[in-house]
Amino acid sequence: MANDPYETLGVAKNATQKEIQSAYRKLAKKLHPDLNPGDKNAEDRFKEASAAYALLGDEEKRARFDKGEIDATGAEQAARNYYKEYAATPGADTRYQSTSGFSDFGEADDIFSSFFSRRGHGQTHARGRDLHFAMEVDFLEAVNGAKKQITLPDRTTLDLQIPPGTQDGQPLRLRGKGEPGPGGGPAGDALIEVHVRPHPIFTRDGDDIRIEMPISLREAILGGKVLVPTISGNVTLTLPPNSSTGKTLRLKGKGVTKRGGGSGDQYITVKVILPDPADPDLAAFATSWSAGEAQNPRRAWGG
Amino acid sequence: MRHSEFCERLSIEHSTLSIWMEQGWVVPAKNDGRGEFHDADVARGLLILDLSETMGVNHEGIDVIMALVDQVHGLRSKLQALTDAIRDQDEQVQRQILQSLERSS
Repeated sequence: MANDPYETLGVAKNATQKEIQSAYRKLAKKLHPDLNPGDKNAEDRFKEASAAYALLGDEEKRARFDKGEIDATGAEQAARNYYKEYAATPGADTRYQSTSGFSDFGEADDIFSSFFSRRGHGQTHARGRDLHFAMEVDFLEAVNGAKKQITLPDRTTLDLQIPPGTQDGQPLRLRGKGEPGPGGGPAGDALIEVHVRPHPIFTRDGDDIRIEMPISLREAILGGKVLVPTISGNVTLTLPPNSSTGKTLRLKGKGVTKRGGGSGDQYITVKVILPDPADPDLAAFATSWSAGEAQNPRRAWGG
Repeated sequence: MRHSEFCERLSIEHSTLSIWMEQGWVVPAKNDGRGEFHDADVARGLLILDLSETMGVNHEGIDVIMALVDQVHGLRSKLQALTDAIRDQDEQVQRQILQSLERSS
């Protein structure tokens, strides 16, 4: 350690022993390797501060250092294994490790929830078996979330919270609602596979919602305000003039709620619908419309 | 190691160890029905001594800190396992996960 121990602790050369102690305490609280696992810089600085304190915290050693009888390196400490080195060893025993901090990760039940909330401890009794069920929910219930009740074969009912954004085929896990464990072990889980009924208007694309919106020829040419259904109710959308079939507009944030917060978008693809039955005035106009003859939408085909 | 060796290595009294065990700060591993301590427990003991002696943290504070330290290690080991599992995937899957992470952060 080449640094000046006074500088390392951030105290003056004439600091009292008490000042030196409190300066070290302050640094130790911030830099202790077990309170900063994985932070190599904190560990190096803590070692430096400890070495400086080993020298200056001892009045006798400090006096000899001040007189130049010993140098700062004389106070190097023996290497120590911090707790984090044991706690971080793969395959180390996990008596102390707690994964209770993940219990809310398992709420939106997916294939990872058991990975996150599994206890490090070996379970002494075997778990009961998981029970599998399937249920159908409406598209909007899956997208917006809903409370459902299912009746099990033994006539008991289970309240089931469909989380917003549930996908077709996604299993929901009801912890401890499976078969009881043999010999007093924990009960298994009930796994409910959710099947989402298709919706006549909306289709889901990840977190986004897509719809195809029929518009009249007049709306296509002139544009204007149109009422558009979204999964959270109708909204007014301004259609720009001259919108062809296939033009796609976006309603930001009107898609499915994402698990981590935020929402997807809704995409609206317009489709021009000609009047039915055909309007003779329109046919007369198209006949007399000379610019219409020059338009060739299939130019790219080389026609 | 037995309780007496554990106390000796940390220079603590048996009564201190009793308090630590009551609080659940150290828990002996079960081996043939006898509780015994490992090097990891000694390192844990050193941390408890650092907290109480060097940093002047009181019992309540140590209780909170040890619980959080255990949570951090639980979290770190899960995160490590998750990172390793991602590293095992095809490069395209890895890239998709990265993109998804960047979108949510």
